[in-house]
Amino acid sequence: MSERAAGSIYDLGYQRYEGKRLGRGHTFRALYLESLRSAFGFGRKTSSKVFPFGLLVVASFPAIVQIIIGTFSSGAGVNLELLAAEDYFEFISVVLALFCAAVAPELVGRDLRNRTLAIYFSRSMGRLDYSAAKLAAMVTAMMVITVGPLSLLFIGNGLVTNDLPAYISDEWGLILPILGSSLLASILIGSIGVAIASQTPRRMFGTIGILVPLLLLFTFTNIVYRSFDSNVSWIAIYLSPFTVIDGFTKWFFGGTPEFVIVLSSDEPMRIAYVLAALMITAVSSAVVVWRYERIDP
Amino acid sequence: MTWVLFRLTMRELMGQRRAVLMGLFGLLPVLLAAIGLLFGVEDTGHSTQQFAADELLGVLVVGMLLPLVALIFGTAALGSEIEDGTAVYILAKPVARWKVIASKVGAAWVATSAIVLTSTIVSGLMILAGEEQQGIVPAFSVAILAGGLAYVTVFVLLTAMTGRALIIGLGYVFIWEGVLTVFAPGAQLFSIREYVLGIADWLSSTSRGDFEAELAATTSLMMMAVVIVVGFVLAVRRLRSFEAGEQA
Amino acid sequence: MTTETGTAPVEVISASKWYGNVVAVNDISFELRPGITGLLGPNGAGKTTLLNMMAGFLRPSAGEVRVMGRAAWHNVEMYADIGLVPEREAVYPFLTGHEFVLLSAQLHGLPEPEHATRRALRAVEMTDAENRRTGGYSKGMKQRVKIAAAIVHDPDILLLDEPFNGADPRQRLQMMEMLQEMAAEGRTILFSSHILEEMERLGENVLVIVAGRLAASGDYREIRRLMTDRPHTFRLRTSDDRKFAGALLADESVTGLELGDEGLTVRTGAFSTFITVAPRIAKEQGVSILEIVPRDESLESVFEYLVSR
Repeated sequence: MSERAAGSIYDLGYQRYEGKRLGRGHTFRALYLESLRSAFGFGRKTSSKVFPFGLLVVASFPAIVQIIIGTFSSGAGVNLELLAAEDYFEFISVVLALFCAAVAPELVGRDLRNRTLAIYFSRSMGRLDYSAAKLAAMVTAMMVITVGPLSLLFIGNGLVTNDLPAYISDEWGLILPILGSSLLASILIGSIGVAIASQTPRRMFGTIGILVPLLLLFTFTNIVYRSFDSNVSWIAIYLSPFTVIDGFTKWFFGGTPEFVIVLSSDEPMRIAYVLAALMITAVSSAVVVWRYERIDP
Repeated sequence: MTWVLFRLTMRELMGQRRAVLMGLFGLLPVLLAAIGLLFGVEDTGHSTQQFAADELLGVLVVGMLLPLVALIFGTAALGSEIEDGTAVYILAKPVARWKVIASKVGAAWVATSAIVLTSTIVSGLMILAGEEQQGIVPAFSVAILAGGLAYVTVFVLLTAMTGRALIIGLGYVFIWEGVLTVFAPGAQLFSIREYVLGIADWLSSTSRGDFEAELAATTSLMMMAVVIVVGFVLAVRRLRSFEAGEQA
Repeated sequence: MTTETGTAPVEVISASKWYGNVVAVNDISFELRPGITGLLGPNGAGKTTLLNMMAGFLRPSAGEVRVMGRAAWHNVEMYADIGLVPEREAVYPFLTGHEFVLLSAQLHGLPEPEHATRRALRAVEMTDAENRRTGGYSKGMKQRVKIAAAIVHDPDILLLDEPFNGADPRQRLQMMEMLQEMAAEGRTILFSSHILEEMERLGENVLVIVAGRLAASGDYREIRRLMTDRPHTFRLRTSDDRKFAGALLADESVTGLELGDEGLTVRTGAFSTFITVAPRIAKEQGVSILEIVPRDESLESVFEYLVSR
């Protein structure tokens, strides 16, 4: 450059932005929505949509099959129920685990890998909001695969009776348990997933990190339940998220949990499942928050 | 030189978080044994031996813990270096490729065995304390040592072949060994888990009703050896023709 | 430093490498002799591919790549004579600098690995930080320690992939001096770069690779002259194109103007003058420059230009 330029600064019309800024809530919502979108692979190549949507379809299989069978059986005047709503999660528990293991690393991995966290943390949002947005997005994603198939089952069963309004007015008592158990299951599995996935930038490690403990614990609790008296198995039952889910789901629907604890009165123990779920969720969320508070972006 | 590589890989594998995590996994069987000790297995109508061999060691350790720990260590031994791009530093050396593979497999094997074998011995001895041993613990220990080597060899081979080793390995453990062998008994011939159980059955003196493996002893031993040798040879060949791609 | 047959240490003979439909290296031939050679090319031109072929990490799809008279592929013994400094930053973060270089020395089977390690670390001036973990090193420190690991076994051939990436001018100077010292000892050194100025001291030994092809070879000065003193084209968008164009035309650095829908296209004879002239004129005229884009900065356009002359 010429020596003439050495001492002076050209006024090239650079302007600061002095206008309105939308603030923290808006930033939170923006991150939440973007995370949710990327969890399902929107805005990325098609192959990243395969797992979430594929698993969603697989999770809906039982409902679809039920509807098909129901269509035929109601024509024959027989009412055949393949799978009750309260047993649904137990049936698709592996799918739920796979979904969480596929989605959670996708959600938090990219920011860790590409070191974009610094950009997020320097906005009006802060670390706590980041953690909260990611957790919220994951829970919402899990809601899709929990409420989705259950709603499909519910509506499907209703359509099969050819009298949907009547079905709804008869069975409306199912709606609240469906929503409640889906919500609780989603926050439980979702928070565990994010807690584990946020530990590593590598997507594969996150996936394995979620699958291995879930599967190991699942096997462990199954063995305990198979081999010991039920007044012993209460220890193990709380170790696996899936038995916890089964517990409160059955409770919400008014049935009896598969892995049941025999005690003098059932009522207090049933709420233990909900408490366990909330406690595990609280611990997982704390892990996430702690992780992002401490991390060096 | 192999020793240098071995030590390097061990350091890499036993990095803080990973080692602690694996240790925690290894505690699960011990926890199970503790529960069994405290509350007594007999109550449920099974014998302790059956519980030890079939459930504790058979399902939890051999079925879950061993393949998963082997998967994690086996894919990391060579795979993490290839993925990071640091593989160049050990490959751009006049070291025979078989020595590289040997050190990787060896380190992964030692790491896996450290966790799984310890867990097996401790939990096994705990649950069988004061009972008729039937040689269960030694039998499973030997079988697990061999199985660990087989698993690790396969996983190292996978990492030399593809970047998707982890997910393929997972698929093998859960879909092939877990599901397929139930529906298609022929597949058991190609399942390392069955080899392990076969060897354990052969070496222990449990009764038929308590614990029985699907494969005979000779089949298990032979296939185990085949997997280890063929896996090793193929891995060396793949490493020799290792192409850097856009990554290294 | 040649083999018994009198051939050059590194020979690339009509070498090509393709991946499916993508040709990364296209029929390249050259020889590397003792001294320093620079491999210049834009990103994606094939420099790393070529280096990997020389280092035995890629198999040529066609042609041959020979090191010390033997094919580089499937040639594990050759590593005793080659030092490789890869581009990727990653090193084993849990090792200290000293341990990393020592590892290299041990894997080479050196009789006195500690001694060689110390010597190599001294040569790259990393003795102060050698006992810290490389995970905590700055980029420049990692680079130096990588070089130390590559020279610890005193190789005849040294291949460096973009070694000056991210180095400040002082570090670059130091590294160049070190490389020149090594070259003076009879070693064959090749380093790649996408920045012309890094080839400054190299005199005659510059290879230019563009889109997988050898585009030019020869003297640094000549190449530089061709690149910078050639006519340049810029595209500008301003707040008042016509007014600005009128004022620009009066300046002698401008050789041609075109007013279009997407903006103003300006052809200049001398690169360096125009970029000081344009802002000054804009300010004088009260015009804001919204965008200024050089239309032909790339080596590809240099190549086109070279070819069309």
